[in-house]
Amino acid sequence: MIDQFLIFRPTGQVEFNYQPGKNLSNVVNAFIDDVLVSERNLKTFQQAEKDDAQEVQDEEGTTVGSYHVDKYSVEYLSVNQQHTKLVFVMIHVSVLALKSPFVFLRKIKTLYLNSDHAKFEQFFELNLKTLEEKKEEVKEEPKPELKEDKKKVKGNKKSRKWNPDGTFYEENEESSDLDFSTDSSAQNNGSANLNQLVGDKAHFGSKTKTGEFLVSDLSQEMDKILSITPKAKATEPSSQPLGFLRNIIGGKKITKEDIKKVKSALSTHLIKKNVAPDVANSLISEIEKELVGSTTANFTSVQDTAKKSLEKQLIKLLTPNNSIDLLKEIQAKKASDNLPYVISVVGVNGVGKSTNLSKLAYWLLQNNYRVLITACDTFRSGAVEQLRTHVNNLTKLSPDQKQIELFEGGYGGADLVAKIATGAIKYAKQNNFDIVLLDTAGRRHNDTQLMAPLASFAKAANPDKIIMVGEALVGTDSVLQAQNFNKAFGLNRHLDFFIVSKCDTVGDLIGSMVNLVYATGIPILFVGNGQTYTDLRTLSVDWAVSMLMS
Amino acid sequence: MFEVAPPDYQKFIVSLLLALAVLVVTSVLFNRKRIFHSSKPVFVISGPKSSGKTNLFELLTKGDLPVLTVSSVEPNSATLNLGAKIGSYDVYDFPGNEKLKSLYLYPFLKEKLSSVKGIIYMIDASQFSSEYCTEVAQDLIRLYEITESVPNGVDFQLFCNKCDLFTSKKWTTIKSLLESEIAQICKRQILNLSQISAKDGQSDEAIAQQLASSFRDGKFQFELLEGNTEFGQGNVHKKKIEMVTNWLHEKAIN
Repeated sequence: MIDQFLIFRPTGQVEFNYQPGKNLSNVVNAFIDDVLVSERNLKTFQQAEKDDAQEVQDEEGTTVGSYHVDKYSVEYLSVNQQHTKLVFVMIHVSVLALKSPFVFLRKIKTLYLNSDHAKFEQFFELNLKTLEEKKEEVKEEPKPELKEDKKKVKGNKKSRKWNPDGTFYEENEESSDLDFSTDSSAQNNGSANLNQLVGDKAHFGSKTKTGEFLVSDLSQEMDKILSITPKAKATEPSSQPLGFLRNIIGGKKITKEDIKKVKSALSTHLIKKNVAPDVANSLISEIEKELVGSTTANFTSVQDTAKKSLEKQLIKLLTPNNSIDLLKEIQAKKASDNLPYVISVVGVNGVGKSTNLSKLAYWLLQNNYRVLITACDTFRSGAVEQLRTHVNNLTKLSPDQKQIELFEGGYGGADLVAKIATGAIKYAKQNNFDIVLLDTAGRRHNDTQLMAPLASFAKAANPDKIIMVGEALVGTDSVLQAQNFNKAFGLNRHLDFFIVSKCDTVGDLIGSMVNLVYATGIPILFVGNGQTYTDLRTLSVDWAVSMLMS
Repeated sequence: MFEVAPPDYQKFIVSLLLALAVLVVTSVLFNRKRIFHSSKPVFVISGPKSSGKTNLFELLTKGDLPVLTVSSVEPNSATLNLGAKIGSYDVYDFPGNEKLKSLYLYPFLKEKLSSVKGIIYMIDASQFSSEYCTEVAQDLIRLYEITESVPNGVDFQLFCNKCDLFTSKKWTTIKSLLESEIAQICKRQILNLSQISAKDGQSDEAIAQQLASSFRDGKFQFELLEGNTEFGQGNVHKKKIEMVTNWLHEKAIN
């Protein structure tokens, strides 16, 4: 049923592990990498408001969600409170749809936080049974009443008691003495469901491993724990002595109200830096999740704490998951005699695709590679000529005159593009070029007619790297640009990284970088910061974050 | 007419002393964490994902392995007592995820480098493929860039975990593989585009020079680094970590 159930701390230690089959550690670790470390929840403003309205019923500092990887589904609940940081994770096969998994998770959470380890294991087993029997719940419900009726009828019969050796004796006692189920259900009407489900004691065996508790006792105890509603913390910070001072000297517990005050200031700061409003709000809601329930450090106000947390989020966001080393990949491909290495550049009109392509070419030429530049822009008049100018310049600049060439196929329709691309790769193979750079036509990301040929182009040319060039100048639109271009290459192909151009024109307003990465999760590798061939740099996360926070 | 009262020096001095005392007491009160913790020397556990860092951490500090470990999201820290004579040390175990390293490990090292006694770098010897080697080499370069910036550097132990499995590589093999990989990466770094920064052309060259001194005849050698880099092997899951504990004792005494 459930393939694995884990309770672990964010520091990596597993506190509780239920594992009927094999250890699905790769599923858990994929979940951690994708959700806990690099989760990006891009919400539009309306969505965010709706979620806010719904989340009220949830306790402070807990978040729930689900995640899918391969054929497994993961449902999780994470508790992030001052003294308890725990993640509850339930893994099962995706085909199987569990009924109300989050109710189950919440129940387990309450039980875990309010009972000791030995007892919790028993509680867990009990709850697991109920989860598995849940589907039959509807059918079973009338049963207890029938039982009671029968018992009443049988009331004046002799009851049998079995001896351990198999013989039995009869007594004239009232059978109600043995009937545990009725009074327990009468006691706690609110959560009687559980007791009814546990009704089938024969499956259980009447005693647990330790032999201390009967199952009915156990479920009663469990209900007791569950029925304690988590009370709202009565101690408001303002009611503490010198509560107002806590704002200055630190040690103040951060509530949702505090964050709300800081929220608008932070989001305007981000939006001023050219970050899209949706992205800014999503980032800040992450901060809210992290901070609510924690306390401020010494001599820091809530605002400073939130600022620090934002800085952390940005570092986390902009640092790529695996570092890309283009030269290494080219070398590796050269070593396996599988050249040319094909790089394709895409983007919206006028962002600087050709310019950045030439910058890349210049860098590769300096590293003594032979580069074939291919003009796949068959729409815009003058596109080929523009590239030819670049190639002429680069020929003069390169150490060896025969290092760089232009491959062109003139102007024409969309089908010509794929033809030119495959032709160029063939030509490069025959003439021992190391690298093919494909320059594509600029296209509006929301024009499906123009975006459609990209899929066939990616299939035909099958570039090793697809780079999207994005401007630093563009604002909110960069979110959609990145998303649409990322989707344009079909199911199994994505963008590999971004080049952000024109960074010298925006000063410290480099929010577009955040937009691009937040929208897609794809890293920025290069940054264009000028107009000459040497003005291409790799991104430094520290630099970007300090610019954004200034 | 205006008679000046003789200045009451005693009162003046007492009030001055009182004010000073209040200042000292409050500053100690508020900074007690900083004052009492800064002097404690620190050992750091780092390494790639799922190489057994958290297991080693638990084994060192609690003496026992946890039920199971998953990828850490936050750093672990605890006090390690190495016996009455040597004293106690702080041990930090940092997550291996790339994003989290730039969030926790690098800032930590930059800030507290002077109190870092040594770094235990965990390597899973049973899955030491060429990609894994590149990853480790890159990671080590990143760490050396920070640690080699101080005189005498910081001591490393590269601990080859799971060395007793039949698929695992010997530490000598791992060492030579790493040395050649680091050399290659350093060569590539010179060819690569430099990082963008506020003042162009800042620290990149300095770093190249730092590692450059540890090259001999175009080959990188761990022995030439400022800090001492040793190799160790064992298996955390089987509690074979004598080499780590011995190394810790040795570094703690020095």
